[in-house]
Amino acid sequence: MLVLCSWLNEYLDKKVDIRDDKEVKNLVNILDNLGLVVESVQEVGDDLKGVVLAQVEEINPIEKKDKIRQVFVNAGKSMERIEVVCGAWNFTVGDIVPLATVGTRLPGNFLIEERRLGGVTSNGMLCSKRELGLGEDHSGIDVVFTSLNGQIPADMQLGMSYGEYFGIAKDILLDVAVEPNRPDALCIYGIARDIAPHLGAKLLPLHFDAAPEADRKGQPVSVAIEDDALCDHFSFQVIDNITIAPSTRKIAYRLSLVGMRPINSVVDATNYAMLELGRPSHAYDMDYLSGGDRNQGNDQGVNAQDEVRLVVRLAQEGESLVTLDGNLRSFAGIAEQDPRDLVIAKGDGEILALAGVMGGKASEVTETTSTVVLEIADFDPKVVLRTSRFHQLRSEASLRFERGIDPAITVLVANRIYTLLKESALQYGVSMPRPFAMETVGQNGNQARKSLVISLQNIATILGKTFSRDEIASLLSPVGFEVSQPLDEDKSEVVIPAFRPDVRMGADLAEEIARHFGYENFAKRLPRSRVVGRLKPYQENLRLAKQALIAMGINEAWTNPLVDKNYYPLPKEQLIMLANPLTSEENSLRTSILPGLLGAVKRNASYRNPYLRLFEIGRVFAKSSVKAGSLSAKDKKLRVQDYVSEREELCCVLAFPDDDAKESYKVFEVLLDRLKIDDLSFRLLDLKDLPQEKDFNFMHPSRSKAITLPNLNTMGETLVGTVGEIAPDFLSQFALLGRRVGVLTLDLNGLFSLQKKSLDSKPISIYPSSDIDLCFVADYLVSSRDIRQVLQVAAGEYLESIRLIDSYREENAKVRSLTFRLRLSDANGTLDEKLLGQIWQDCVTSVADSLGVGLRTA
Amino acid sequence: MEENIKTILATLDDIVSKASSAFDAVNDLSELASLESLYLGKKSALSEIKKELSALEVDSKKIVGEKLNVVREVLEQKAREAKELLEAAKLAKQIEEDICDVTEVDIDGVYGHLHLVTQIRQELEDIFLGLGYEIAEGNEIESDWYNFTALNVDFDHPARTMQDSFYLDTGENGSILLRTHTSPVQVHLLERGQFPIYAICPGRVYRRDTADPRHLPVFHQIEGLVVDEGIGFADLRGTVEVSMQAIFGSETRTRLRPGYFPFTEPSAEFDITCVICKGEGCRTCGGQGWIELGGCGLVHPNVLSASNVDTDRYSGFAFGFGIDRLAIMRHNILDIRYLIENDIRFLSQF
Repeated sequence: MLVLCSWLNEYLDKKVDIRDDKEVKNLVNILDNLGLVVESVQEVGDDLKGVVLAQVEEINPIEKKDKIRQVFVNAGKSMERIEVVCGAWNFTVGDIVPLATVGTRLPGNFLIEERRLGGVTSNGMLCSKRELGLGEDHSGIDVVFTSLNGQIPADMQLGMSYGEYFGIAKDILLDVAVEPNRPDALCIYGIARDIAPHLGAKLLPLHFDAAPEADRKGQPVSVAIEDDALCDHFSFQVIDNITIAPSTRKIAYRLSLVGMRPINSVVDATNYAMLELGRPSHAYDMDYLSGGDRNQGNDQGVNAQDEVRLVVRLAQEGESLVTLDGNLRSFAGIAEQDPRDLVIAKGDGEILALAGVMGGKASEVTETTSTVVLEIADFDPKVVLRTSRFHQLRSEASLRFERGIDPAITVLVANRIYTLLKESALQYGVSMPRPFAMETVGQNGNQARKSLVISLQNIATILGKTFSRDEIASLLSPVGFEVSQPLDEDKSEVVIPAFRPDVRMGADLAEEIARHFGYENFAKRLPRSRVVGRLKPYQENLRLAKQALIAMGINEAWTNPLVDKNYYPLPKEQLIMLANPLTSEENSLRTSILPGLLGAVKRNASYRNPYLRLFEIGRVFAKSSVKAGSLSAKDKKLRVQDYVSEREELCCVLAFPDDDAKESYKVFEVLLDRLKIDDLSFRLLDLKDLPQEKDFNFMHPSRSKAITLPNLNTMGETLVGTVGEIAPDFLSQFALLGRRVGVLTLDLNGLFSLQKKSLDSKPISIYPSSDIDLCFVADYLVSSRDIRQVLQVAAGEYLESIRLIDSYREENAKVRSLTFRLRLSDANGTLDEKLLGQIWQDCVTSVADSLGVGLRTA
Repeated sequence: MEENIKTILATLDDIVSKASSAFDAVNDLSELASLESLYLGKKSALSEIKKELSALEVDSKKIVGEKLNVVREVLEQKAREAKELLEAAKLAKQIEEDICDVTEVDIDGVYGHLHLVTQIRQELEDIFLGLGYEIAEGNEIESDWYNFTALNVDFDHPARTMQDSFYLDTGENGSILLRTHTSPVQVHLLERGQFPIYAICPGRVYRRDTADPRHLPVFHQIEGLVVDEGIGFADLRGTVEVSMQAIFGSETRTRLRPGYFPFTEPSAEFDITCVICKGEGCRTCGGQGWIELGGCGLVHPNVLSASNVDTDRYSGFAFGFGIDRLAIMRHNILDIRYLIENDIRFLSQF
């Protein structure tokens, strides 16, 4: 919210000196510390410094020019006869006009210089309102006083500053961020209230003169509220005898500075009152409501016979409204659980305005309006929120209604609007508006006195500091809370002001106390956990796995879990789509990390780094196979896992020059070693033996394996992961064709649940060990792992280690030879030849019997 | 003296002279070995003379014997010296040939790097483990209830417009979404019903923000939750200060300013003294001396009640901040999107 320092000053008995940087800095600090964060500070108002009041003395045509004229003005002492060229025609000799003198920098950084036009020297410029930053009016010079109205007012002296005359001076414009829980701070008066005690100032009470005939009865309008719950009260006041004029220059200037376009006296008055007091209001063109011809204004007041009937109701299906911004809003008739589209309509059905959000185009106040109906209502915050959200129509009014307005200031607001209209009428010398007595319909329940009982003990617990009742009263009463006499030693009643609908419980009051006491004035205390912090087993395993992976030269990546369904290279049946994606490239959730990692390899390759290893550990998602009945979005019992499944996956992509399927398996074996998993705890299956084989078409079928473990419940196999190489045809999608790229994918829960190996130590022998080399010839149905496992058992208790020392395959052969070296030792002595011979025989026999694999014959 | 003894002695002198020059002139160890065998071996002249010693008279035997010993010692000494020289020369040659520049290495690919976000996350986890906190994690897909409702953000709450969320096209519309913060993990902790709670919840979160140099739709957060008897505002201030000092250094100061979150009351934003200028004011902190880091507050009574926590007995505080933001701040990263692009030139910097 944009806030002018001078505007705040109007409500403080001790003013902030706008010209003193220290005071301004102090103000900014106070606001920051109250949670009203100042996002920018800007000096404004200086740009009208060189604009003075001047009287037109002579107007002459310029030869051969029919659009511009030579004008002599008198701008007082030492500037008694200034010659300027002017293109506007809306003034005459004797008028008082604004003269921007040479050297002035007008809003928009427009520098006034001496110029020659049509042979005439222009020593300044006569200004329009737009040129002065007072709105859009550029139809002519801003004639401050016209000689047709007689004598110049006594206080208007030639040569005096235009800004000073109209109350516009150097000012400070602050951009203050107001949090959603501070509806009271969405207006100048509310901010002044919050800062006053911290400036050592008192907040000045609000007082605005009522209209002279405030009891004028017989408004030609009646209002009915259909649903009391959606509109607490609706106050309305007909004002006639209006001649539409601009707002006073000061009001127009202020509105421009805080980002609201000045339009006319009526619209500006409602806007200004909203910014100042926080209460939105709306003015309807009465001439339109009563069905009269808008173009024939009615200067004679309103005829009580054409009474207009207004209804506050929900819009029905098929109805529509063109709002002030020119857009057509269609309504669906939502009236059930979460109603929206509350409207103000005429009795005959025509919708006039979207309640609390925006008025309608048809009934807007125009140049010719002579009578208005002023609406000051209290609409339900939620219905306003839903309406503005649905129609994507956020206005200054809806913002305030959504957060809660002050229901207690209806009359003040009406009087404020009246005083603004009156000032405009005086400044522009037009007819004085005449309001009727305001009427209110509705339950008017929001004004009821609300209070909370606070416990000093409770406040002390929440804040970690004891406050006495008096201390609390001195902090809260300046900002509108009333702390009653104690109910007992501990408890007191606190009356909540109507402008603080956000304060509903003790904690809210504690925040108010803390805010005004100063967050930085509290002590610091470190609470102690009574347990020793340590990673959970899963977290410990995760860190071990990551350490093991980076030790193998694999870099950790983080790819986007949001993927593009249209280009997703894996099966799409399980993809969960986003209901509201931001872009089509990010419209669904990955089922695997692999495409992301391959994309990263491709990207690196395009930057000339084709050889790298990457891994990522992260969530992958899939639609759930069980689909439960639908529960309401708000239902606590809704179980996410009935709709979607989520698990943590580890994925490695190996793309060093020599990487291949075996390197992937090596990474897997190293992980097992680091995680102390028993090598016998899983099975390796061919992908074609998996029921979900088609889901793995990205894996190279003859160079990959599935890692499974028997599932005792289903008697089938549970998939833990896959290890091997990316299929050649799949690689081509990532511009990697012709390379071997290793891949390892593991479900982390599956991996971590594998059987751990025994960590009991085995003795080591001090006697010489012996080696047995065995060279087998096997086809690819038998794996090195199979042979190793048989040897492991067959070699028995003397086995120290088995290593695969050679693997040899003749080109395109269906078999290969595998040479294993078994190292054997005995803790009690040297193994003799006879025993070694026996072990050799046992190993050869076992491998032949269980795997059908024999030794290579020379 | 007998003539033949003179001859023998002369022969021995001759041997010494010849052998000495030979040993002096030897060029390699194999040549040395043959010289040794020639002059000192079993078939050498010295050995022959020694064999003939027994045939001599006692006096002569003594003279020749002593001479033989001297000669042998001299020759052996010569051989040793020659050997030492040759070995030294051989070693010197090997050393010269062995020359190597130890810096002729390329460690590219030898060791990988943890992602910067992981490194910082682990650092943060370790700090809070040191304070006795548990590390709680949860799902990235959550129900509306856990992400909003249970956190006092009810369906019409204005705060829901603050966090634009990704909803899933599954289940009932608006009911399942990608969590917008790690706070749902806190709700699960509260529901567990085991007190006290001292926990941090690090993890990945999603918001409907267009990626730009300062924003990613996917990023990481860490939140802390403490629920215990008698927990108040002072505990929050102390914990924020101690943990920020652990992260940013002991000279760091912290500041709390009033803020707004639906799930805390009172709520605060917390600032730390600028990591670059230490509070003096510089470009990084916009001359303020402070950097806004995260949000915190006392857990809102509605949040505790929604999870059936006995609010008469327990109260708590929570705080949270962005891990990625910390990373870009600490490492002067100009564009947060580097974190997700996985360019090896970036990954291998940390």
